[in-house]
Amino acid sequence: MEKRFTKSFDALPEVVTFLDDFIRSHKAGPEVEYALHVALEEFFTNMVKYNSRSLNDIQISLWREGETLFVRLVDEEAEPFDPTQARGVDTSLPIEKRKVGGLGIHISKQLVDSLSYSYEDGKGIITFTKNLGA
Amino acid sequence: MFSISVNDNGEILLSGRFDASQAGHASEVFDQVSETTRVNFRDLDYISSAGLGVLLKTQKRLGESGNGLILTNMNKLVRDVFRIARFDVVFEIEEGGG
Repeated sequence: MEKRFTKSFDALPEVVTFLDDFIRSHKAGPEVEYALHVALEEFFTNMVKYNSRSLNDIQISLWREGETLFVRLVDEEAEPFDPTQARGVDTSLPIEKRKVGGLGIHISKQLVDSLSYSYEDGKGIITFTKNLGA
Repeated sequence: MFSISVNDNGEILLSGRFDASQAGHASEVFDQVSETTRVNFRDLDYISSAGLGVLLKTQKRLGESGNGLILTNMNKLVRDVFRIARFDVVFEIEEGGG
């Protein structure tokens, strides 16, 4: 499945519905469902936040290979930002020093089974997977 | 679908999906809180970092006056997100019920 979405927070409900349809058709369990939703929301909203000057769509592809579900987001006019290399969040800090920045990527990395990033010709491409058996 | 309401006891009830598209709406309610308040997660299916951000901002503000949020009835998946974020040490979380 493949679809393009406006690079805007307003598109998030449509993104959620798109992923829900895919998850339902592959009968993924609640943990797989939660992981895919969190990661897709975090990476989609990151692309909106950090590349909001360009008005191109974000393309989302969803597919299955064997027992693994794949999600890919492509931003065709992106600044390079590699979430796999993002600085970790210090979750041991006292509350006054805790911040939300970076937390979404931290949670997503913990929940998905693999995460990869590439940057080619101005395109930022994020791919993550989740095994159905998880 | 997300909803947030306050019951007669002053308890905040969350339900549905608390994501980035709902953070602004939820903030309007949490910004009104000025004392220790229970937040019931019983009907909340999903929270992302955007939702955690609203709760953290509120907890920091309340902490300055010695108050805080008490989170109750989380389901396992939501609880896992709190654990990964180590927000389970930032908030008082009451087990059970969910």
